[in-house]
Amino acid sequence: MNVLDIQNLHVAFTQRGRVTPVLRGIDLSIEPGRICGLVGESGGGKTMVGKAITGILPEDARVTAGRILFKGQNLVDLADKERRQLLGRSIAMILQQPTTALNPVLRIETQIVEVLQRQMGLAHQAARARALDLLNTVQIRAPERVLRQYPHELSGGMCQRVVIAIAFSCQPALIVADEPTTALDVTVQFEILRLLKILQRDFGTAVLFITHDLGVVANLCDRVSVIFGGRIIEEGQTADIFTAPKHPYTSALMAASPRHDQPEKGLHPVPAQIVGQLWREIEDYDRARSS
Amino acid sequence: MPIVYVARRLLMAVPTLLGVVVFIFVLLRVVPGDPIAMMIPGEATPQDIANLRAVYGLDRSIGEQFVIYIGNLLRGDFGESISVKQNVLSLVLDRLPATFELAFVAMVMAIVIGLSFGIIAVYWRRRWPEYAVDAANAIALSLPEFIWGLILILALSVMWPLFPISGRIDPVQAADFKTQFYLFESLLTGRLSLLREVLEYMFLPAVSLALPLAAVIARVLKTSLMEGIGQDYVLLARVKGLSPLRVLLRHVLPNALVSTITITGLHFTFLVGGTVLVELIFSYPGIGNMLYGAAINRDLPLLQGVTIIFAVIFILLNLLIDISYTLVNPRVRLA
Amino acid sequence: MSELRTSLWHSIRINPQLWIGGAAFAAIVAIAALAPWLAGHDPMEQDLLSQHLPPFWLPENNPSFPLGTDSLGRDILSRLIWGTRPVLLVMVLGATLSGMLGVVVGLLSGHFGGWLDDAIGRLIEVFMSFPPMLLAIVLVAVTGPGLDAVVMAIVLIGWTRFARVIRGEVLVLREQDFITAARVLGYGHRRILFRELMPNIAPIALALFALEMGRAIVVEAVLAFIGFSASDVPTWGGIIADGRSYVYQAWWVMTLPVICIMISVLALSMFADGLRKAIDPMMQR
Repeated sequence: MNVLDIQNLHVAFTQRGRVTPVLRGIDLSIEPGRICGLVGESGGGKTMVGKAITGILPEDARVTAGRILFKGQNLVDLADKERRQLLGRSIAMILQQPTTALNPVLRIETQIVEVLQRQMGLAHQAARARALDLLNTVQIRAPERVLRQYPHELSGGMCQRVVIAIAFSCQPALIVADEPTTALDVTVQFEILRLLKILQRDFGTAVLFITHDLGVVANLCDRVSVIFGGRIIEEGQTADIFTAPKHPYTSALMAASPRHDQPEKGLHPVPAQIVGQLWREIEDYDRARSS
Repeated sequence: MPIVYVARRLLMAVPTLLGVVVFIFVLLRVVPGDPIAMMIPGEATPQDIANLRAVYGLDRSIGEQFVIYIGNLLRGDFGESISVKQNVLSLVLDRLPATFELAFVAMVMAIVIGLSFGIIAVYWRRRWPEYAVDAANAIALSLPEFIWGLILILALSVMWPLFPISGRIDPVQAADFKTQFYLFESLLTGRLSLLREVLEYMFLPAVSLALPLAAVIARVLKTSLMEGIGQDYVLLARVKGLSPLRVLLRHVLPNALVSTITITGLHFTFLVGGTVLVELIFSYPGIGNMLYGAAINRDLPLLQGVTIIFAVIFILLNLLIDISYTLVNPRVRLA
Repeated sequence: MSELRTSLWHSIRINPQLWIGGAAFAAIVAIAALAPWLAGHDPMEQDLLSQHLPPFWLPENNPSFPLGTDSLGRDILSRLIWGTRPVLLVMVLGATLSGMLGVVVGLLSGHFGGWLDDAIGRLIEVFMSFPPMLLAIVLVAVTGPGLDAVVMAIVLIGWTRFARVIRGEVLVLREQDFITAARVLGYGHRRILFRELMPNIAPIALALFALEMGRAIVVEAVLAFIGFSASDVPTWGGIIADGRSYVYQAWWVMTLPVICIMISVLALSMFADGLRKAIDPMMQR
């Protein structure tokens, strides 16, 4: 059985009575222990997919149709209390900005320990010992000191390691990683990605890897979904997508990504006629749905 | 380095304090012309006036007077009251506990009401508690303490006789106290019926002092909490599966408190300043009423002493508020 | 004519605060001006045989004293009507003087900066080291009671509010292009201060002025309450003080002036809000 099965997911904003769709029938599934890439440009709705899974959509956004099945259980119509049983324990998340993802006024210790206490039912001492283990696992030197520090005393890379430690703390079945390396330096990016890959393999965790960077996807993911305008326009094995993309947008996106191995090739923006064509299709789709 | 910070802030307060002292000297000696004339009630002979002049050193030049005045202040000598014939400093210190307790109770009330209203409004946002808190805030902020005090008298003492409106305690029971700290003394010695009575006397003045501050705290806290809710670290806390109440209290609140204290800090001094007014309305025997007595009797040394001591308290309070910013905010604390 | 009427109606509908507040202010002016004709009694006339008469809606009232009498048998309605005169004097004069002083100080401080700004900043800090009511009481103790002392006290505690806000505004304006341009063109300080800066801070100063009028009413009432205002004319605060002493025997004596002050303060803060709202679109440069 798949860890995650998203079926025909629709999410829309409602502001002053006006409904604006952001996700238009997303289908996506992840097998246990696999990494699935969700690739698209900013504004394409990829972050909304992550937020819908973890139930942290903005207050004026709402799931209007579809299902999000986690191990067969539909998260959409789950009561808040039951959803909170799963969050942290079975589903975790890594955010884009490590420096803002940690609470500035709480010590690192508190921020790791609270999830262990709440989700694993550990006593404080046991939770603290486990937190130390976790910091070792994410390769933080001097974990004792880091536990007593505040986020602003750590570098961005260190903060992201802490966030990763929190995400893996209860050995969840699924982690939603929303652009986890975008805000980091290139050298740090590489280390964080390798760490993520190692932990994912060791713990057997499935990962939904949300990014705009196709280069990262090629090295990391088993499968890839390409999202545009809140719709999945192409999906498949990573190797297949990279060797023979079916949708012109995917090829254009690949041409637009910087290639680490061939920096001299330069950048090519996605051609306007492809984007225009996609938007026309989305308008038709919205019109068909509203009528 | 909090100690260095505190020391630097203390040092910065010195010129302000000097300004205060000079300002009071100018206000009390230079502006009115003849302070003796305003001190002496009626039929005094020119000889009496000359004697008094010499006693208070007013026959000397303004420059000399200023030097003597500063010298006395530096030695902690605030002179002797004309109307009560006692040392000014000990008179003021005798009354200070009453004002301190009133301000303390009012602050606790304002903080408790303000924080809980702010939290309630955000926890049940977009529902009726939020709108109720907004309405209560608007009403509380629309009128000054003076009017609130009078309205409270009419509502909770005349219309509905619940609380006394004059004084600090029944004079018969005042003899039961060894110190001037009626509230703390009755609390610490466990005399609960006395404590209850002290609190009853304090209730109306404290509420009229607390209302405006409570409304300001609730409003600022609500805004800061609302801003905090969308932050990344709050999203992450929610993804940890923490309950909404824990997310609000443990993750959003501490950060919101930092900005709330920064913004409302000044209003705490307003509350302390408001004691002068509220004491007058409720005939509460604190520093404010002492000031009033000194003004009525034209008791120059007492007036001067009360004013300087109040200013010192104000300056210290501002200092305390500044330091408390650094205590709640680790980013500043360790910087 | 009808066009004027519709545009007036439109203005009332989009900014009712301005018009309600303005109307209340106009009402105070009118009552103060017409006091001799409106008041049925001499406000100082005592009638010891008719003390603490209740207002007209209560039993045992006397129709000749529609709002009852105070502890000396004086007609409360007449005292309230005559009481608008000191209120008007104090709020207009007090707010105008503290506004003028504060605006000038704030302009100079913000425009010239440097040591002048430092010195003014220090001075404001010294003033802020006292509770406002304490300063007012000390001042009146020194000068003796009276309306002129009340006005001085209002100015003494009110100017810093104007100075602080105006200084901040000038510091923002200073950085804007039209001031820089004026400077580059070599305009003198007087021209920059009065022709360039003044028109831009006038709207804020006006809104502060309306708020200050409300505060002045309260300061006057407090000082009258403790007997530091005029004793030869009736004041609202004075009626409150009388009523406070006998509040259990005759609650209405204190209630009526409190209601008058409440209405005035609320009306003036509405007026200030309305002014700010009316000015706001103009402020968007």
